[in-house]
Amino acid sequence: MPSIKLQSSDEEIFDTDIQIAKCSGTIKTMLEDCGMEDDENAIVPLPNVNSTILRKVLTWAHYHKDDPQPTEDDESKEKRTDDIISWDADFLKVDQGTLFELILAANYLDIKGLLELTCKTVANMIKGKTPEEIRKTFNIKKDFTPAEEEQVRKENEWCEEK
Amino acid sequence: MSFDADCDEFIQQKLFRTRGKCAIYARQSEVYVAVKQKSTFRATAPTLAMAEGNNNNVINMRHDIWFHISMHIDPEDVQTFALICKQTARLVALRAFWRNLYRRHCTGATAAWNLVLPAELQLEQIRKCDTRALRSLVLEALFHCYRPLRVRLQLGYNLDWLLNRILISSWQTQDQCLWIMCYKFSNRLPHVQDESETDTSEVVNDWESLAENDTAKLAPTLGNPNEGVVMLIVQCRHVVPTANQLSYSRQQARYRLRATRELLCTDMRATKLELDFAEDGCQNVSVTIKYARIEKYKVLPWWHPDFQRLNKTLASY
Repeated sequence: MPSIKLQSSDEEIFDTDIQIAKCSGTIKTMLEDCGMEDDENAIVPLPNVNSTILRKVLTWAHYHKDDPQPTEDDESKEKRTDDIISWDADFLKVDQGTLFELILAANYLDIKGLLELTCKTVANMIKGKTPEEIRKTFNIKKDFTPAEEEQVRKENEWCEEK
Repeated sequence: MSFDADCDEFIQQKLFRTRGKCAIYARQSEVYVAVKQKSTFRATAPTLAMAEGNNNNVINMRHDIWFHISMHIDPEDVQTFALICKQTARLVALRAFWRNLYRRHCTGATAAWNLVLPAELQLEQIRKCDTRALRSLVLEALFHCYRPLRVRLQLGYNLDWLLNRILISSWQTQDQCLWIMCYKFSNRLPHVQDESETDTSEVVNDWESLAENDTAKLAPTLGNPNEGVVMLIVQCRHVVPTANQLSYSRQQARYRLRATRELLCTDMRATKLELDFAEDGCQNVSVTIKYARIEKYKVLPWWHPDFQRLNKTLASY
């Protein structure tokens, strides 16, 4: 099976099956536009992804290599946040930093499935928590003035259950 | 005709077409392109450093991460998400956010028409609204289509929804042998309007947005004037006049509902309702309206499907 070399930001080379690499829209475009598909020695540089994250991305891509490509109809379907398969859930049992890096990598590499999965995971982490708890979980600084906070609260009061 | 003359004519036409809204312009010769160093750090840094700021270990998450996450937030979590920080609050104000919510939860099997929704909330109708109106319509659509919110409508809203709101109007009408009293309460001061609501002819500084406006004009709707309003409808057999001091004009209305009491009548066959009002900024209750015997009451927030219907019907009496 033809393979391709992917180079992470810390210059580690990953010899990868070309079909697996092509689940990334970015890599697929690079291969096709630059005519690198037939060149066995060609190296695809990925300066925005480090080796730790690229390894994880490739693990995910390998597991999902036979998944059907999402269509435009799928895009408009209801995006549920509770339909994560157990393998994916285990795959994403990582620290927050890695999770956010995976979101960025999925975005950069244009891997819709992984981007959706990682974002769903963060959306699920937010579920059932108060804003204060979320800030604490993600170590985010509160930058609202009391008046601003009250305004946002009022604008979105339709979410409240009393 | 020279190139500069062409430019001048184009600018004049643009200025005329936009009715003078185009505040700045530049000749093609005055425009240049310069390479600008992007300041945002990229995903090359080790774990966490990419997603966090460089000081105090406080995460300064990049806008694009939050944007992607916002596209997966469920409707009932929108307030919580918006209250995390300013960045998330801004995302919740985006048109893309509301369009995404509508697409995820309100589009029907054909994507063009959803039988659950009334005509005014169909995709085609809401597409050309401005962002505030879009938000308001998507929200109403969600209460039709999204099950957890629909369940809330079925359960009904209690009197707590009225507390600490300002009375903006009240009226009463008779329907056969029943009196219907209506109160409208708002969570914002009646005279306070957002600048965006009042200034409809703002100066636009970039040509692209003007060009977009030329081709696809937004519907003239500017949000929902009833946003933030909750209506209380009380049905009873005897009329109870609203206290005079509560019936000030819209600008002078400064009474907040401080407390409500729903009590059983002495014969235990009906309930009575009491509403305590206090002047804004004052904790002492100055007016209490007592309904000794009510048939029923209903609390309708502005997103309730019955709100618009009753608002129009009752106001026309």
